[in-house]
Amino acid sequence: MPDMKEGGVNVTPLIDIVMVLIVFFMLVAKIGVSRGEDEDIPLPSAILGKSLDSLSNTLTLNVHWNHNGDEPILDALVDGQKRDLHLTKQYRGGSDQELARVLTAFHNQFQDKANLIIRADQDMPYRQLELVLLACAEAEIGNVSYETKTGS
Amino acid sequence: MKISGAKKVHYESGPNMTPLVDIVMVILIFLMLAGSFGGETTFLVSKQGIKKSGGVGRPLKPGEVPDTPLEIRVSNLDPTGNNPGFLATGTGLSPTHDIESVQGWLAGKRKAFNAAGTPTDKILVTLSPTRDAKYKYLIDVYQAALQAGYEKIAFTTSH
Repeated sequence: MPDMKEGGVNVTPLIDIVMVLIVFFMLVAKIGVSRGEDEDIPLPSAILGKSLDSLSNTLTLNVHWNHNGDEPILDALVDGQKRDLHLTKQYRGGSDQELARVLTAFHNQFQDKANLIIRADQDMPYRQLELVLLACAEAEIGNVSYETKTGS
Repeated sequence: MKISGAKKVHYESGPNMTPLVDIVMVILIFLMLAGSFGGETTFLVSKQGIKKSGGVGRPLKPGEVPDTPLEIRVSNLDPTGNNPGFLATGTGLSPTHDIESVQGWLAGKRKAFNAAGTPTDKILVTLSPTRDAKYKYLIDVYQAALQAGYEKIAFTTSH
């Protein structure tokens, strides 16, 4: 059996470890910045959408089309927990919250920099989205971003 | 008497897996990146809030010049919503379901406003949808307004 020559430091394990670390940090970063978005909502397409510089002053509101009622079905990540939100004051309590209260608290926290992200079903009738926009206006939230998927 | 040192012994008990691991890692990273780019979402940012249909928006501050409104009405092409498409209409815009026509009309209006001395940032495009207008059609018209060069675009209450 011939002798094996070793001409320097073997960097292969180093590359392997670096690769593993990259994958690990990518996964951590991806999981760590969750906005509470519901991936099941079919978003409208847009080619002129922009990326947001910062998500630190945002609240993502998932707006589901309610086929059986006038009010949309809402949920959002509030205080680190996914909560169902209600437009009317007659909500059931428990973990649910009133939308107006959440939006007002959000506005009080960030003032004019508060940016509400609306993640609404593309086929939803406007009458349901309108209720959400009116609630935003009542809470004095002026910055509203409509989330879209890229492409036409 | 010269004693020869012991030779290094290399045990090779199978194929070298290191290149395989490297390639798998590279493929994994590529697919993760491709996956995250493919599902990317973007945002249409509005600072205008919702306005009352046919009415004025928030109360003006002292000395503030009101924006010049430009209303465009949007409804579903098929009122039952079963067939796809939208219908848009405005002052000087015949009802159309062609987004290019809407964009052309909006661009023409902007040029006319600019020629009359109204800067683009003082024009407020208001999208006035019907109650049943689908959200995706509103986004289409919203984009047409952006493409026509408008900066201020708002939804109004339904009509």
